[in-house]
Amino acid sequence: MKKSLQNTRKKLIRYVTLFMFILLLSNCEFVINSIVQPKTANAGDQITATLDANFRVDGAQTNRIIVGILAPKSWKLGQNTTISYTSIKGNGVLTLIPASEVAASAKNGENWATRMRNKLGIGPNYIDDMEWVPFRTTTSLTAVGEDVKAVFTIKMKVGVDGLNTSVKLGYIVCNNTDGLDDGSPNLWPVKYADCLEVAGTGDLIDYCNPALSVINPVKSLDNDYQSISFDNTIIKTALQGEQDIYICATAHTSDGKNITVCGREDRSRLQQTATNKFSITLWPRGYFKVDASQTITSIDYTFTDETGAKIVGVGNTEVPFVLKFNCN
Amino acid sequence: MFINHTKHKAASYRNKLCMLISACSLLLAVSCKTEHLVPNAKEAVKDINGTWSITSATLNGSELLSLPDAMTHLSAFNITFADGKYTLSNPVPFIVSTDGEYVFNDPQYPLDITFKATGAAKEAKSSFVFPVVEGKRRITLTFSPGCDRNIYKYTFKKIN
Repeated sequence: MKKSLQNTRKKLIRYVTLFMFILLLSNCEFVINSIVQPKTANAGDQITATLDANFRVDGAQTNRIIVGILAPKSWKLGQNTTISYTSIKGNGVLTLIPASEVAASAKNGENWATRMRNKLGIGPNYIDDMEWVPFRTTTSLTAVGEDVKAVFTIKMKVGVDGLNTSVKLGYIVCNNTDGLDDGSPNLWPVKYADCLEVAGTGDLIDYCNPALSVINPVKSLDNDYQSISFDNTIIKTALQGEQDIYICATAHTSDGKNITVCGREDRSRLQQTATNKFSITLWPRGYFKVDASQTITSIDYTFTDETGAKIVGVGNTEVPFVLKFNCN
Repeated sequence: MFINHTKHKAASYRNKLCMLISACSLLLAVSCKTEHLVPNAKEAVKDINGTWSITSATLNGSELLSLPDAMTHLSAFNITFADGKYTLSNPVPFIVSTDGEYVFNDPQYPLDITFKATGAAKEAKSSFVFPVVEGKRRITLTFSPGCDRNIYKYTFKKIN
């Protein structure tokens, strides 16, 4: 009887230990506690963002920590950012990860920037002209079954393109061994900051709010494919309920010519991409049939119905949207 | 008697040592023989003569072929290479927009290809990848015809 009790106690201790061990193993988690970032800046200013994170690890882990930042491509954040960190495991800096390096857990050999882009897209932003820029600690950090707090100080020059911009920057942390593993999203937390307003020149490029019409890529020349979208869900427009929507556009060339394509023909018809959302992709040089010596500098455009009577332009008026071709 | 026995034993050891050294020398000599397993052949010059059409196209990583062809016109575009010259049909955004000449950085191991359109002031260089897919060669070119942050990647297959 005494022996049987002893056996039961031994088994109990064994199972409890096993259970605790399993619990410990499944308890690995990284958390972004907060992002502190200014709400406004001038184009070309250096701003400081502070990222506060905790790295809860089980067993002994030795890894480099990776921080990815989502920003407009034209800001060239990879060349304009420095990141340092402080933690109980030491202080240090992060450097840009080369594009040639394949990301951990990337099944198709993607690099870190592409892996982040594929998993997270452009977050809550509305204009698809952004990139994830990955940085990592220069040394590995070791933690043994503990919860390590780290504070990253990110200094970045914003709006180097000099343009008026409002954008929600994104931040992700992970480690270089697990990366953005499909099965463990608790190891790659992501957080988006509130809208950052950057004061520069020109028309506002508003990543934060939906717009009636968005162009992609944002920066292009007349020899690039250009996608122009029309979102008929934001506000009640003259084209409400219409399914056949056409673009009516005039190209302005460097030699002072105006070329208008405004017929209700197939090549001007927008394709439906979602309910009441439409898009057209065109190659301006081919679409307006310009000569080799001509360059298109800008396009004015509105959206119309099949009859051409209903017109929607900028701010739900009949004033055309303006698309300027430049790279800066 | 004891001395004789010791002498005999020493001679026996010497013989064995000699045989061991001979065997080792023989092994060493044999091991020095060189086998000419690698044929003395030269890498062929990459031949891309023929007409090629687009089989895959991306702009900044987004697929262009999923868009209606009525918008992109990519299906009609093709390029014909013939002994250092190229001609374009049904132009689309491409590294060059008129016919001209091309040259590889290295005809045997090309990593990039330079296009020089007739009459153009500048040459245009693209990275060149020449993989084999389903037993047939493909050409993949990466370039920026407009703004340099807009990256196009076209893959071509030979049509004749």
